[in-house]
Formats: sequence, structure tokens, C-alpha cells
Amino acid sequence: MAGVSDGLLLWGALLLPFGLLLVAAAAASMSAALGDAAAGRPVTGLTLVQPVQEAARLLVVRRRRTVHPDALLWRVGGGTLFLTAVLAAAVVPIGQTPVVRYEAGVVWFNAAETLLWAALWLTGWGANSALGLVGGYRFLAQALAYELPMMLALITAALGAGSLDVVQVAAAQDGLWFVVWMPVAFVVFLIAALGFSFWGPFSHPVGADAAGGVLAELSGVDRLVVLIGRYAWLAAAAGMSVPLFLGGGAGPLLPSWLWWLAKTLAVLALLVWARWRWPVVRVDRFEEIAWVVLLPAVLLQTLVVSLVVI
Amino acid sequence: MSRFAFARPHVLLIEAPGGSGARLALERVLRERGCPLADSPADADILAVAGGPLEQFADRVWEQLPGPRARFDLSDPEYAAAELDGAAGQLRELSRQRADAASRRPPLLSESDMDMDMPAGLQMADREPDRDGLQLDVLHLPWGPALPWWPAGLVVHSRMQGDVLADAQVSRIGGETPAAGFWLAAADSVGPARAGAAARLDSLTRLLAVAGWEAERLRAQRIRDDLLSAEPPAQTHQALRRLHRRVGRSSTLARMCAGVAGNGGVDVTARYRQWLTDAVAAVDTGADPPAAAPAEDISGLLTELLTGTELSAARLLVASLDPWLSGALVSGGRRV
Repeated sequence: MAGVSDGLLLWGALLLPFGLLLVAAAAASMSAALGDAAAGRPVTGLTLVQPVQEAARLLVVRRRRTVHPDALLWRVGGGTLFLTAVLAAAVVPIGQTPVVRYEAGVVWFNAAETLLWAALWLTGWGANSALGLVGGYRFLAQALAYELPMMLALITAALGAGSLDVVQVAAAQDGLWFVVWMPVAFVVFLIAALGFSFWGPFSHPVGADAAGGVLAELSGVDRLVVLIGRYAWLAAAAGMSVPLFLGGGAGPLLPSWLWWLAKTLAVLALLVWARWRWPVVRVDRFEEIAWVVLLPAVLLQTLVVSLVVI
Repeated sequence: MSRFAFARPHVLLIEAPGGSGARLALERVLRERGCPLADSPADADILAVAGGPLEQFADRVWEQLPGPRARFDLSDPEYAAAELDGAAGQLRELSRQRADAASRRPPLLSESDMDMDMPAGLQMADREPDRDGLQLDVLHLPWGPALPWWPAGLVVHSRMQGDVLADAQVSRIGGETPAAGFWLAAADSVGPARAGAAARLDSLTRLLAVAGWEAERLRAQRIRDDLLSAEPPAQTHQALRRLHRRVGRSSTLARMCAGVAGNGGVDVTARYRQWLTDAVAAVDTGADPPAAAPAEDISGLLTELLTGTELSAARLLVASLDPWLSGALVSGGRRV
């Protein structure tokens, strides 16, 4: 890989999964707090350790076999979720420096995300269950809706900076954050983040109406792996939105990594809150919104940005 | 360790006909303790059957719980908390769970059972023309009370092509006890207005769950439970009006439900908005407003509307007919 920064790479690569897990756990805690509030329970310290509790439960619960599963692809699908989230997070500059500096980091992030198409579908398919398969296909249809608008949103940010290097994109926002003059691209990126994390309004692939869809047959550690992967993707998406649209680590007084973290947690809170704010957007209806509204809107945004850049 | 892990066990709650009281009591305890309702047997630690044993059916679901696992039948709402405590205790009994695990048979048939027509003893999908006239796989599937938020005792047998119900046949399990009995008793104890409003919120709860709106589902449950308690907190009416505003005016929810199961100009959106309006009117005026049934023959209407819908629309449709399918209301809007 061209442009790898320095010897910190090894340490970064070792610590990155754990860092990602921490941010992912923060997302799960925030969601648990909002859930307790909606149910009318007091939000206490115990609420915040709920994700740890749930992880412990899933480690105790036995794995399950369905009749004649495609076991290999089933497990591969689940494991791919967290793996790709780590890969995507590797190019996100934590403050100024990413774990891996890559000249086409924006494309790398997108490439890691597209692997989710396979990951989710295989997880749905592997169980040999109608509900899982329905969930898997729902995700494919959903991806068909958010993928193109998201690619254009990413390209718009890269266009504004004149570089596909995430560090350069962040640096180009010196003085004026991209979110100010590319609001549509930012919103589309957040919608896509909810989409590929199959979270909240875009959790149709794991919807209660299909008894959990992709998750319907998963128990124990298999379920845990998929859930961790999902939160990790939410975290990676929030982390990526900061260098793309929110000025990266720029900010007064505090060190840049702290600014990055603060902005990341703020975006993460927004994504988590969306789950409790809106009902599920069914895939067939989202398709229409994505192609008729989101795509033309973000295309227009790209056009405006290219005119400004020229 | 297991005390920590199972502090909030996940519960798969199945309602048998006539089990409304037990289900409501359990839902309340689970909400107050923060125990999630499982979407499927795979996610459940405890299987709870509200209002009756449903023997063979519940046994088949029980087989699918991964374990550690526990189960109970609840017929008297009084014992909801105690039964749940007992089941949660069983989850932590190591010897009991070991014995249970040792006695289980694997779901797999051996590879020697393989043949071309029935791999692993499973029926292969057939192939038939779909709604657009293309050849597509067909799978025969029953949809029943093990699905979360499904009306008690209802079974829909369908030929599935992808996630589309190519046709549907409606049948019943667990007897014909309508839910109206419970709501009548509730009307006697808390008054017809509060019982009527709570009944509508109960249906709304299921619709919101199927529509994937957890926050408002929990709030609707809370208001329902408060209305049915002996002395509802002072802010209950205000909470109900807020719910009416948020859910009734949500354009996202309206768009997701619009045009689903239209029958004489009434679709799913119109139905849940009517429930909200009726519930608010009931607590405001102190009288239970009558509810018009969508058809004389509700099973017939269901069969007709289900045919050709895809799964998520079908679920919304079933949820929107819940008061009549569960027997909480009978034709003509009179409570039995």
C-alpha cells in the first residue's frame, strides 16, 4: 500500500479494533439509555453497562444449529461485519493521523462498506431459513437504494478537497467545514450510514415483522458477533463523517484527537437517536425515496460543488 | 457470572386465545424490569405462554430455544412477576441446564438421509408462476403465534414466493375464546372509557412494534398499563395526547402504512389514526366510542387482502385488523 505513514502502524493496527469496540460500546450504551427512558425506567449506571451485560448473556447462551445450514458461509458472513468495520476505520484520521494513510482512503472506506452486501446476505442465507433469507434480500434491496447516493456524497467531499486522501479532505476544510456548503451530501452520508448499519429507520433487514430477519436464527456468540459488527459500523461511519464533513480534528485549545472524538460521539449520538425517533422505513418505499429524491438531490450537490471548485 | 448475564433475560411471549390478561400483565412486568421481548426463539431465554398451554405448538417452539432455557404457562395475571422470577432462577441453575442440554436431540438428520428430492429430509421448494407470470420458487409456510406481536390463535397458511404471500388460508389454534371477555372485565373495574382507550392502545402497541417504532411502542404500552391500573398517574391524559400528536401526525409512519390493505377507502394508516382519535375521545368524554368493523367476515377479509402482499405489508395488515382478529371487538362494533 502506497503512502503508509510510519512505525506507529503496528501499534495502531493492534489497538484499532479495541478502540473501535469502545466507541461501539458507547453507541450501545446510548441506545440502552434512550430505550430505558422510553419505557419509563430510571436511567442509571446499570443502564450504561447493559451492553456488557447483553454480551455476557450471549456468551453464556449456546449456539444453535438450524436444519441443514450452510454453516461456513453463515459464520463467514457474521465475522465479515466486524472485520470490514475495522478495515474501514483504519483510514479514518484520529485527529490528524489515520492508522493507515492511503491516498485513495475515501474509495477504501467505500470498498469496505460494499463487502457488507455479501456479509449480510450470507448471514441471512446461511441459516437455511425463510426469515433469514427475507432479511438478507431486504438488505440487498436497501443497499441498492443507499449505495449510489452515498458514493456521490463521498465523491462530493473528495471533489471539494481535490483529493481522495481522507487526511487531505480534512485539511481542506481549514476555516470552512464541508457540512456548511455540502449539507445535502452530509445528510445523505448519515442516511447511508443508518442504511449500511441496518440501524433504526433502516433496520428492515432485521425487522420484528420478519421475526428478526437476518438475526432470526442466530443465537449465542454468533449473534454477538453480528451485533458487535453492527455497532462497530455505526462507530466507523460516525468517525468517518468527521474528517469528511466536520473539519476533522480542527478546533481550538484541545488536542486534535480529542476534537475528533468529541465530534464522532456527537454524530454517533445523532445516529443512535434516529433509532428511537423514527419508525422503520420499509425497503420497497425507501427504494422510491432514494432514487427519486436522494439521488437527484445529491447529484445537484455534486454539480454545485464542482462549479465552485472550478 | 450467570446472575449478571441473565439480569435481563429475553422472553418469547406467545398468547393463547383468552390470554389477554396474562399477556398484558407479563408485558408490564417485562417493561418495568427492562427485559426485552424476543423476536424469535433463537433470541429467547424464556418461553412464556400467556393464557394456556397450547401444548404441541409450544413444544415445537420450545425445541428451538438455544438454552440455557426455561418456560412457563401463565393463566392468572397475578402471578406474572413470580413466574418470571422462577424462570429466571432456573436459567441460573447450572445442573438443571446441563441435564436439559444433555437430553436434547440435534435438529439434524444424518447425511445418509440425503436424496435428490428431499435433502436432509426437507421438502424442496416447488416452482409456479408468480404474480407477474414468471416462474418462481414456491414455499409453503405457516405464520402463527410464535411470531412476535401476532394475534392470539391466528394461523395463516401461505404459499410464499420470495417474500410475497401468493395465497393465504386462515385457521385457528387453541380454541375460540375471544379477547372481549378480558376487556369487558376491565370495563367493569376501571370504567368503559379507560378500558376502551386501553384496548385501542393495545392494538396500536402491536402495530407500532410491527412497524418498527420501539420508542412509541413502549410509550403506548406505558399509557395502556396506566389506564388499566386502579389509579392512573395524573399525567396519563397528557401523555396520551402527546402520543396522539407524535404517532398520529408522523408522516413517515403514515407513508409506510398508506395504501396497505385498502378496504373501502380505509387503509392501515386510517385504522391506527382512528384508534388514536377514539382513545383520546374516550378519556376526554368518559364514554367508549363504538368501533365499526371493517367487514362481517373478518377471516374472509383477511384472506382476500393478504393475497399478493409482501411480508411486511402483510404484517401491518394483520396488526391493523388485530381488534377484530383477536376478538377484542366483534362485528358491528359491539363488545361481546
